Amino acid sequence: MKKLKLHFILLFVFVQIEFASPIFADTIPIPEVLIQSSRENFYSASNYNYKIDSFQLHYYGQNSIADALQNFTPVQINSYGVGGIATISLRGTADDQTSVFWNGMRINSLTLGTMDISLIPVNAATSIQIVTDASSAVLGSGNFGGAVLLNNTPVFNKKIEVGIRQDFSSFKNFRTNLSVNVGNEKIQFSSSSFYQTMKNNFPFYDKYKFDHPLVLNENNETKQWATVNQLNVKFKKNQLLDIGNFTLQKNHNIPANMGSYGKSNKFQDDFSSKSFVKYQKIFTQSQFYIRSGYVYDYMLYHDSINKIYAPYYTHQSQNSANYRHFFKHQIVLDAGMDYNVEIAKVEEYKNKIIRHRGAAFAGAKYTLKNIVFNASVRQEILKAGYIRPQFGLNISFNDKKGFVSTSISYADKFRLADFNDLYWQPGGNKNLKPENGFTVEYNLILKPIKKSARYQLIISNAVYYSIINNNIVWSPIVSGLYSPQNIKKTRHYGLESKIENTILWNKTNAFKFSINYNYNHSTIVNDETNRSLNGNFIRYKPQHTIKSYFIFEDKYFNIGLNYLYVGQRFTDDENIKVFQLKPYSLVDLFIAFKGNFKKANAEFGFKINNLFNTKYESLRSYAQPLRNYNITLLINCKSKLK
Amino acid sequence: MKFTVVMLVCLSVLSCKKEESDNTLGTYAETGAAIVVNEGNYGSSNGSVSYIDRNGVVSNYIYENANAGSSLGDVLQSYTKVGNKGIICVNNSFKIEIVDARTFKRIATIVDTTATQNTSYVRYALGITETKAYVTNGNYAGEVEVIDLNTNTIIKSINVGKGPEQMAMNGNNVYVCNSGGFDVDSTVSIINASTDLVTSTINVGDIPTKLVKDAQNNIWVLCAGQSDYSNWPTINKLSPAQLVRINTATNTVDKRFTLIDAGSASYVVNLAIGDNGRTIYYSVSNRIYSLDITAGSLPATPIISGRDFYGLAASPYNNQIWGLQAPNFTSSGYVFRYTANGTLIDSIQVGIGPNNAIFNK
Repeated sequence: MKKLKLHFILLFVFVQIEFASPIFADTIPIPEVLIQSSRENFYSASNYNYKIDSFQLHYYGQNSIADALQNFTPVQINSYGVGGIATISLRGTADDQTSVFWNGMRINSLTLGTMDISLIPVNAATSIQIVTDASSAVLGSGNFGGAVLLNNTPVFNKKIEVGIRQDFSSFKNFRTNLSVNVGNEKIQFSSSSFYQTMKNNFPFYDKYKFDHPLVLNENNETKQWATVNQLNVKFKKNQLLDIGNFTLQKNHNIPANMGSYGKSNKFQDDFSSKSFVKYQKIFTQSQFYIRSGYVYDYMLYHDSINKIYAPYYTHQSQNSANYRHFFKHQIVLDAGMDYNVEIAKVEEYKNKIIRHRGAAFAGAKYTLKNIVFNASVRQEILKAGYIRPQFGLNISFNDKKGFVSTSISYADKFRLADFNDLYWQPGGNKNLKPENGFTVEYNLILKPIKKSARYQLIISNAVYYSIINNNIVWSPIVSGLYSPQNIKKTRHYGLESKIENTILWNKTNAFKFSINYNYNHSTIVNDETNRSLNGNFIRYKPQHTIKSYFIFEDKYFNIGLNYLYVGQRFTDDENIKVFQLKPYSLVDLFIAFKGNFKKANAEFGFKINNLFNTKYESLRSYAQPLRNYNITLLINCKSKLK
Repeated sequence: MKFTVVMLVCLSVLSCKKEESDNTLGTYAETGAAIVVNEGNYGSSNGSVSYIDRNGVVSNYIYENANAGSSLGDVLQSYTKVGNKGIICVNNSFKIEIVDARTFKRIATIVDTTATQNTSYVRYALGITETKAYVTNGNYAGEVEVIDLNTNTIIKSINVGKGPEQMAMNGNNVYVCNSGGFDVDSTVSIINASTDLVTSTINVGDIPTKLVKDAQNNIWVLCAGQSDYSNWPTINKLSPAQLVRINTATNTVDKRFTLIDAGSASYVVNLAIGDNGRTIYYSVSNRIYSLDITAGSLPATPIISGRDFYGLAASPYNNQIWGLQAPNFTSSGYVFRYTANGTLIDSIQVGIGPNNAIFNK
């Protein structure tokens, strides 16, 4: 009750920041005049990308970006339960084979290689983009499935915006978010913070107990806060300085698995602080930027029954510089370099680990009428071993009338072993080779109806084919002892198809419908320790997923429905039918009432998650909630500065 | 509005899926047939039981098939047949399942969710009578839980050493090896099965994990010895791995073989007894040796080599040696069957992570 009071106090003491986003608004536009596209965005620009708009984040933003990614992009979220770890994977690859970048810095765990997406709140970024064929030439290690780019892009204008958002969700889940955005044409400051408590004691049918009783999920409390702050300063007309920080703390109790009769006494604490400084200068025919970032991660896993107390400390310094020159005849050349220092202090490593690595980058873009040629190359410099140059190629075509755009791309890929793979004792294997492979992708985007303010239809298709060699797998080497080995080759191919339909009746009424079908075929090509697995499906990768939504917007309310279908998944490499997870469908429904005033707006939203009370598992034996509810209150104030 | 209704109907139809299940029941108490315990992958609740009949025909997932697809649980540690009942210790589900040993239909689930947590780390069971059994429990402080098989409840808890594992019975004495669990221990506790009291504790050697009773009613204990992994990838034995014999007439150690000296990088895991209790089988790294119970020294030559087994069993029915292999814990394991002199007969695919085979008597 005290916590509830605290949330109410926070709600009414502060004035709001987070404005009810205009429907269908895409990510905040970049003033191209000043801001130079980073290397990551510039060389991914012609590929088939997904963006999450602020509207989608708005209605799926109670906990983290995981729900929005799961519902609106081809991303697969492997959830260990509400409030628990949620890892991310794309196109049938493993969850340490997809990278997450925050303002250009890779923020995956140095020790595990994965990214716990539950640690990224929606206010961590103003733009979320999925790059599916992310090449190692541009993005470096660990992007077999693709990459998620989180960016905070400033908009320079005279304003002051203050807002507060309060979410009340089932299972005593309370979240208060406060945002402030103030600036003028030369300086911009934005700050967004939240505090969240979750009891998460939801009921579920425990299918791993006889007769599948309805039980409560216990020991699942979570408490977290985060703050994201950014300062952007223009110097003269051609220089920009960006400074940003994202700090988060999360304390989470870990519940017992389904089927267990024991009381879990496990918990995990995470603390993470990420900061960057970026300086950019634009000349007449060239651009230059230098970026320096620092990522500190602390994680403590504590199991009082088994007397495990395992703190992890890691530090990463990530530095990057890039020079771009615009030549005649629409030729653009880039040259850049990266230098990273990675430090880990983990008791099981015995010694403090320090790794230095660098990379040199070159890229070229050539535009010939409607065709854009894009090539990039990267040479990784690493003491531990030689990695051959990585290449990325892309050719895209956009017809003048905007009916058709199409592209074909080739991307080399590699992934360095995680620190746990290399240094964990016992088991760590310093002789591991990096995983390597490639992706070939073809995209076709059709806009068969002439561009109209009232009606839009977009049909997007992508087909892809990837090979990954030397997959790192922990396997028993002597009885009871595991060690990672390069033992698997995997193949991934599939189709992503999307139809988006938008109808605008007038200034205040709009309807949008979208359906996204993904087919993925990910199999083991060769397992050196067990050839009988060759040809089997990779575990936990569904062949079929469907993601669909419709939204209707009126002047006074928004109503929407979201549908997610996840196909059958095997949970082991043998593809044992008894242990497979059945397909499931989830439907969410929301309605929001809006009030617009002269200098403020307000919103009351109500959302029903899992409308049909579906029993489902994201990962085998991890409980998921049945039907649950969310109420959102928003107050936003906005004023133009004189 | 009509469109919304149509959408909802379509989506609800899409969410309906056909149930699949194989409910074939078997008779799983045939003498000489074996129950294979498949641990499953930790955290995945895919432990299972396989049944291999005397002809080597396997039936996998017999618990799921007998119980309408219900899962057995997470980390299936052991199976013990007591009369017509089967006791299954499911380690990471914190429970003991009681099944009908003939059909594998579930009878009861024994759990202790109170503060005493007497099912928090269940390992092995031993039948004392047809209506009474012992179950070892605990990864630090250890207990033996006394189970009343009439009521399927825990009626008493006996404190023993740390991390109690396997048990064997001779006369009225029950021998419990205290492996140390997540710590170190080097003792065997002796419990009077009538009074359920510990009568003595014997020092045997570091990390006693397995024991068997031989034809002369003596108890052989496999002590794995402590290992040091701090210089990984080099494994260093801090204390020797030993095979020791407890003379049950005096309850003292009267024979001690050193299998691995301190300082070695080898390891021992497996112990089994065959040939009607006259031959002991044990493994050192990926080699299996046979030892006559009357031998004065260890054999120099293994009877089987080149395969690393996660479990080892010997059939009293046909003297076969069974090596249980878990190539990893995300795919099926195998039972490799050998003749008594180590000639490979065949291999049989079972569930995930097989750790033992228990032959029906």
